[in-house]
Amino acid sequence: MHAIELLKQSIIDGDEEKASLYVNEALAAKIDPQRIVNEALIDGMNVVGERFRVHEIFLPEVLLAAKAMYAALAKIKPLFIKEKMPTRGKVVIGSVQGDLHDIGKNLVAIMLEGAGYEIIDLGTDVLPERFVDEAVKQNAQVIGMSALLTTTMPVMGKVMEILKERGLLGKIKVIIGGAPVNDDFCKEIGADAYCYDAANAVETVKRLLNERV
Amino acid sequence: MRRIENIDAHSLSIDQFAGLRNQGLPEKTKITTTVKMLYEKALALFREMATPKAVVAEVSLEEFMDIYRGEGANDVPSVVEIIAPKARAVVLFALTSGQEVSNEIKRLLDEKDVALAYMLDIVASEGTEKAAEELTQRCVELCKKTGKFFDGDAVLRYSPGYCGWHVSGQKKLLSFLHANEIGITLTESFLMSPEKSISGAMIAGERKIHFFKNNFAFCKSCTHKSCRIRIRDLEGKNARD
Repeated sequence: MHAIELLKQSIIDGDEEKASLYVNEALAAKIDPQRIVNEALIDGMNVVGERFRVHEIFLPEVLLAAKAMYAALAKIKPLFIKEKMPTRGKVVIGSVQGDLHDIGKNLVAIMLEGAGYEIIDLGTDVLPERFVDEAVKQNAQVIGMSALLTTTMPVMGKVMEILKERGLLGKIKVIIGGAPVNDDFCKEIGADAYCYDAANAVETVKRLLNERV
Repeated sequence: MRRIENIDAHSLSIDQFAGLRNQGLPEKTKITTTVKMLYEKALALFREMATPKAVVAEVSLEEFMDIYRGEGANDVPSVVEIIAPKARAVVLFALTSGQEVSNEIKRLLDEKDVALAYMLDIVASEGTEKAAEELTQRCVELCKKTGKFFDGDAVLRYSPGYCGWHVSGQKKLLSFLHANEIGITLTESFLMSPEKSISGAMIAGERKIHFFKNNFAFCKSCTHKSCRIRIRDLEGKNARD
């Protein structure tokens, strides 16, 4: 089997050791790093995401795959130092002001990164202005916000107001998620989409950016 | 009387994979060996790092209702304001599994060990819930000793953020209990730190006082529906008696 195929399979299997081994083999065989990223890492994570979506596997397996992907990516990234690593798009992500929960937000970030997007993770307790400022500064296409508390959900609405004030509504897409958030709330504040889990966030970002889902 | 209770993390019977099932893993889904190993590793970490501790205090109905009103943001009517007046005893509590577990989850995430971080998060939530169950059992024993618990009675826990008790109610509750003495603090948005903490009231009384229909205004937006399971369990016990 070709090194790319073996690497892809090791990502699907969530086998970190083999992923490290096969990425070395692929690089030693002078395979273009961009091809390794696209055809092994991203394609492998796409398979994992699809299996998760149809409930063939559960989240821990997705995360083991992500861990294997990170191990391989760590060896490839230095090769992209001069020319920046190409991405499918940029997503600014964070837990809103007052919210310190971050596991859900991190899962979304991991899945999006695995799908080939560049993630600008602002962490937790992020001020509404900062989401917009960073998205503009980084030329991001998407803002992703997470809230786990009913008391912090209104911050999402504030971000939408700031986008409106600055004439950025529709230009920067907004996805929201978290336990108390739902479709109705999404419509109420005028966000572009509510994502019920990390795999759904990937599909949604692809859809919002008019890519193949 | 207010007192501090220590709970041994090793004594908690954390069901194998109950946390995963609670997270939505379908009953029939096969749990792979890799996931099992990950779960075992997370469980060992939890047992090593968690230091479950609680502060509890039995209060009169008047004291409780004053604390329950909190910042004045509760739904009206709400479940607890109907149940509490029928109770034999109300015991306030705040419980935490400690900061070390949360720190470890963060460290694992920073090191991109996301699978173990996620699994530890699940196990820690389940472990904290089990510690709260242990605390509830201790409350039952105490109520028995003080003649406030009889055959056919039940103690159930109610927490701010659920059943119409606004999450801001934690402010007065934690302040009354001096929960900071066991390391629990509250953010401005009423989030408890350490994250793996639970607070509320343990209400003891006849089983039937805990029964209610889920037709309150706030039930429409509730995603938990765990009240139905609790009530079904109590109804089952009634049927068996």
